Amino acid sequence: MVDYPSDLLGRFRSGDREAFQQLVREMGPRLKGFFLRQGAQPATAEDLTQDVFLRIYNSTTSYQATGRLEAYFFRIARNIWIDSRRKKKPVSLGDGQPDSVDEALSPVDQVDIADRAARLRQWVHELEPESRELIELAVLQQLPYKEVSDILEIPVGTVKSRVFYTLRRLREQASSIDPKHDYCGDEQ
Amino acid sequence: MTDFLDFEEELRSAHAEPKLSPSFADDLVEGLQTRWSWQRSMRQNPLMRVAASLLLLAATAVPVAAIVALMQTPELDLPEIGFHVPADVTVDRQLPTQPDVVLPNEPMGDDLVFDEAWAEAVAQQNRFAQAARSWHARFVDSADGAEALVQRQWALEQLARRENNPHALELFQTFEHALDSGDFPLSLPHTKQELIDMLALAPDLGPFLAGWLWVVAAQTPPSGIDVDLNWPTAPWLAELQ
Repeated sequence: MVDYPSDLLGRFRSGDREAFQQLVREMGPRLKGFFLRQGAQPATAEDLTQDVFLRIYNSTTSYQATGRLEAYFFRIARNIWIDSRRKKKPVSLGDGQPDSVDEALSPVDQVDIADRAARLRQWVHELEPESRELIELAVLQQLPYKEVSDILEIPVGTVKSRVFYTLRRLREQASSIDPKHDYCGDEQ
Repeated sequence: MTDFLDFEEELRSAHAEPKLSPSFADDLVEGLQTRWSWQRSMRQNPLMRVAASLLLLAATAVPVAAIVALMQTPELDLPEIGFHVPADVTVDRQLPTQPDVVLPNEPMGDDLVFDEAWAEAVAQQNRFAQAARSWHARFVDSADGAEALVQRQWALEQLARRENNPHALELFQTFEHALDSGDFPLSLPHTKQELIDMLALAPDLGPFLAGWLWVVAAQTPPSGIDVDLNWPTAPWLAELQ
């Protein structure tokens, strides 16, 4: 998580080049990853990311400085994604995502980890959309549950319980194919 | 719980964020620059806000001022528009008893006492003024003046054609124009002797030339030249004698 200066968005809207570069550098990849994991093609994901910046740049509504800046961006991103789905059904493939492989590991381990990461991505991708959005915002983007509940417009308690059950299901899937990573047994 | 956090971390590791294309920032800058909007411009540019405020003020000031003026204007007692016909119209057209002549100044020095040319020029202007007054009295101010003038001009034109003397007709027309306007000619057309010679050659042209002769030399046609001053066009000349 990054703590952004409270006036970063204002400076971005005022045409501050430094603020622009910081936001593009830090929020751009996250937004593109969000769209990719929702099912957009790489080119489409980048276009939608541009749309997020443009909409925020042209928006007349004031940003609540009390909330997290990322939450504001992802709220806009989610709305844009919903709009785009209304216009066109996206291709539901999570391709285009790079693998995060530690090159210091042995080739065998690298293949093993890459295979496991691919499976995790596949399982996340196969989640129902509501659960996938929860994992995306609460786990991958690490937004506070309160911010997630505001974005998805569901109670915080619902967010917590759904995240818990979704994570537990994913972890069980991961443990079933790879006993080395047995996370089960002590969560209760 | 620690396992849960570890698993979350593994999930995040498996979902590393993709890289943006190299042209992403440039494309975005281009998009931001092309998407000009009133709202953004107003938000970013203080001068735009000032200009918009002035525009709004100017646009609303005129109708507001008009409404205020209408509300504050008292009812006026507008005068009734119409025409008043005067009961009696009197026009004072009394003719001057004396012609408007120029009186020569008393010579101030001995040199001017003997300036005969200057004295003669003044005398000619005075005679012209007398002639103009007599001409106006006969042909403009009298009841039958207009008819008499037409008759005179017609008779003289017939006479000029009969004598085949366009020069005399031109002389007559110049004199008539000068009398009508009251402007003394800057230069007189002929000398006294030239006029007498012309009259001797063609006595019928007397009514043309008699007026000029009187203005130039204070003379009616001299004896031996038969000029009919009772001819319809000439009586006004007789008054000048």
